[in-house]
Amino acid sequence: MKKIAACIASMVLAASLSLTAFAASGIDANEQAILDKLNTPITVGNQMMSVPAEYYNQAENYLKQDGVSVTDAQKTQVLAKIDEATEILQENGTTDLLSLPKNVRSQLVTIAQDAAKALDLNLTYDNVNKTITVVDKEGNVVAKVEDVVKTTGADTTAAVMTAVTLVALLAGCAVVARKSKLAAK
Amino acid sequence: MNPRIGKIVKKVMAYLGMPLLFCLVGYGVCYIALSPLLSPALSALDMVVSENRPDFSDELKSIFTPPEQTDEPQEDTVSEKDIQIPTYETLYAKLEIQQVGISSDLYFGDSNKVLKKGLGQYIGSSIPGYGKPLLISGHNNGQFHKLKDVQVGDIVTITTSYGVYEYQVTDMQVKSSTDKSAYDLKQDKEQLILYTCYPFDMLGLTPNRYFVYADKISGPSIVSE
Repeated sequence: MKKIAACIASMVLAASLSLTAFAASGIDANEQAILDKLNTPITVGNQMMSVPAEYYNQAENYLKQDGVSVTDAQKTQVLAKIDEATEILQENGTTDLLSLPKNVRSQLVTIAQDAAKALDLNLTYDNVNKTITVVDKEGNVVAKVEDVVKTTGADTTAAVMTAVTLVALLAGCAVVARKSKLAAK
Repeated sequence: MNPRIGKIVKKVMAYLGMPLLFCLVGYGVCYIALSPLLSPALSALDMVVSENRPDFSDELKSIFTPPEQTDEPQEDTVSEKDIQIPTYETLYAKLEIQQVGISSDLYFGDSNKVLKKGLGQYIGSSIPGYGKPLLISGHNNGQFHKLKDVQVGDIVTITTSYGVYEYQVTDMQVKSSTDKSAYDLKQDKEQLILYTCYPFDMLGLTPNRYFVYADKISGPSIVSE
C-alpha cells in the first residue's frame, strides 16, 4: 500500500521536476490538478483508498519550490499514469499491496520508474534500508518513502555487550585458574 | 552408556564441538567489538551494489538568514513569493525552547546526517506559516535531551528567514514509534509535533518515542498572490 502510494507520489514528482527554466513559486493550475487527483480517494473493491498524507505533502512541498512548474503535456501524462495505476489496483480489487501478485507489484513499480525516467528523474529502491528515493538529475532528493518516525536515540548495545562478555570471560578464566591451582596463594 | 560410544562422544566434543563453540564465541565478540571499524568497509561494499549515488559530503546547505530585529510588530501575513521553500537536508530555521534551554538549528529533512548536526523536520510535513502540521525530531542524547523537562504552556519559537513563529505546548505523550495515531499530517491545523526516543537514558534502540505537541499562537501566515 505504502509502495503504491509512493509510486504514485513519485510519478507526480517526476512530472513536476522536468523543468527548471521557469522561476515559479506556489502551486499553479496544472500542479493543483495533479494534487487534487492525488487527494481524491478511489474505490478499490469495497474499500476507499487514498494517498497517505505524508506522500501528498512531499509532492506539495516539492511543487511549491521555485523553479518547479508543470506543463499541460506533463499534467496530462501524470494524470494518465495515475489512472493507469488506479486501474491496476481496481482490477485486482485490493488495497493491500502485499497481497498483490508479484507481477502486479512489478507493473506498478515499472509505471513509476518509466514516468521518472521520461522526466530525467531516478526512482530507486534501497534494499538495505527498505526505502524508496526519488532524486533529480543532480542527485538532489525530492521525495522519500521511509518510516515517518525515525530513530533518535543512542545505541550503546554493542559496547555494553562487549564489556559484559569480556568480564564474563575474565571471570571464567579466574575460575579455571583457581581450580587448576595456578593462582598464587 | 556404552563406554565405546562415550569415548566417541568425548572425542567429537573435544575435536569438533568445543572448537566450534569457541570459534562462534570468539567471532561474536570480535564482531561486536570491531563493528564500528567494520562499518566503513561494509559501507564501501554497499556502494558497489547500491543503486543510489553515494554521498560523502558532510556539508549541508543553508538558506537561513535571521530576520532583522525591529521594534515594528510582525505582519500577519507574508507572501509566498517572498519565501524560499527549503530542499532536502537544508538548514532553514532555528528552534528554541527558552524555558528548558533548547536552542538548535532546524533542517528540512531528518536523515542521519541531519540529526548529527541539529534538529530534523520530516519532509512529509509542512514548514511554518502554511497552517499545516510540522513534525520535528532530535536525538535524546543531543539537542532534545532536555525535551523531557518541557511543560504544558511552554513556548517553542521557530525563527525562519521570513518570520518568527511561536507555538504553545499543549500535551506530552509516550507512544510506540510505529503508532500512527501519534501524529496527524493531514490535519488543517498548524500543530507542532516534536519527538525523540524514549526512555531518554535507555541503552540500546528504544521502541517508544516521547512526543510533545504544541499549537501555533503567533507568526505570519503564508499567502499566495
